[in-house]
Amino acid sequence: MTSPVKRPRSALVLALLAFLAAFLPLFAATVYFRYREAVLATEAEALERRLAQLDAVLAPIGSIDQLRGRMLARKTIVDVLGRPQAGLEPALGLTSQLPAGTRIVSLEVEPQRVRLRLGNANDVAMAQMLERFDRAGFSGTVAELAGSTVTLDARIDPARLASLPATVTP
Amino acid sequence: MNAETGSPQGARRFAVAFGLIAGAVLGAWQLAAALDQVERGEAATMWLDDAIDAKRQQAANPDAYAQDVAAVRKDLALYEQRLPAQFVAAEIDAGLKALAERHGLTLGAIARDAEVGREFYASQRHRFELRGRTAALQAFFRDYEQIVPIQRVAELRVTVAPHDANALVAAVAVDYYRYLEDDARRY
Repeated sequence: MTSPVKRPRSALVLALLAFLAAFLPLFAATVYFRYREAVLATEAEALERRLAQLDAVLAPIGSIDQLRGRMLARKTIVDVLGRPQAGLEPALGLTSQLPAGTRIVSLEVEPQRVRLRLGNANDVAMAQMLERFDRAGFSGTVAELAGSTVTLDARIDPARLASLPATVTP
Repeated sequence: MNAETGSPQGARRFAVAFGLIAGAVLGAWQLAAALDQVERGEAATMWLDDAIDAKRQQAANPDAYAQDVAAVRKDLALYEQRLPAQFVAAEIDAGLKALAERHGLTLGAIARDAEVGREFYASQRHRFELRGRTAALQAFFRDYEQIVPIQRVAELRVTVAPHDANALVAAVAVDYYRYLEDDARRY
């Protein structure tokens, strides 16, 4: 009597067995968690019904959540757009501190920059205005003299302006 | 021939490794998706539990709840004044006129640009001229910052008034803002 010959399994069968060995435990865990998900969904539906009942009880007084949501939506925008605007007052103040003999051609103020043009100006007037721009709290002032017109251009730095003591211009 | 990959034994080892990795990757991917859903479900039920607790307390003490609602309504009303749902031109004009008069400034005609929409709010640029002394203009802008509704000066151009060297003319461009309610977010 001869003993049966044990034939080696093919590579494909081995691959399939290995796949199942790795996949099945994870699949079993997945099935459990899918069941848990379904239980939670049922639980959530019941809770939502309960919440709707309580909302109906409170409805005559008003929904504080809805009101608070509307209030916070506006507050978020107001907090950004309502920030104090720096630079207007000190820029206007410059028009009353012009060097003797000069005259204002124009003053332009935008949210981040200020530009002043003076007529009848010279080097001395330009130096005086540069010093006044700095004292007023403006940053990075650039001055240019063309003929008798001087142009001063500066940045508005809200942090620097806020750090200066408040001044009152007559 | 390479003993590991070229022989039948090497091919079988490779097949086993491939099967293990493929099974683990596919299984882990499915498990991760299921776990994610469970986490979301747990978070949702926790949130609902908390919300129900809060509502129960509110329902148990309706007077206190009514006070809380009134307080939020009051805050909301303040923010609705600062950021209204509509631009009311007559109110804006009246506010500007009153402020200019208070500071002895002459207010010119008020022009309005087209409304520009953002995601949650819209802005409209208003343009006008003010004429008066430097100190009056400074005081005007100091007070203007405090007025409701909310606005921001976008441009200011000051020149000397014609025929009066002591007065200034300020050409002002100001952006006013309004809130876009959910049903008005057409932009």
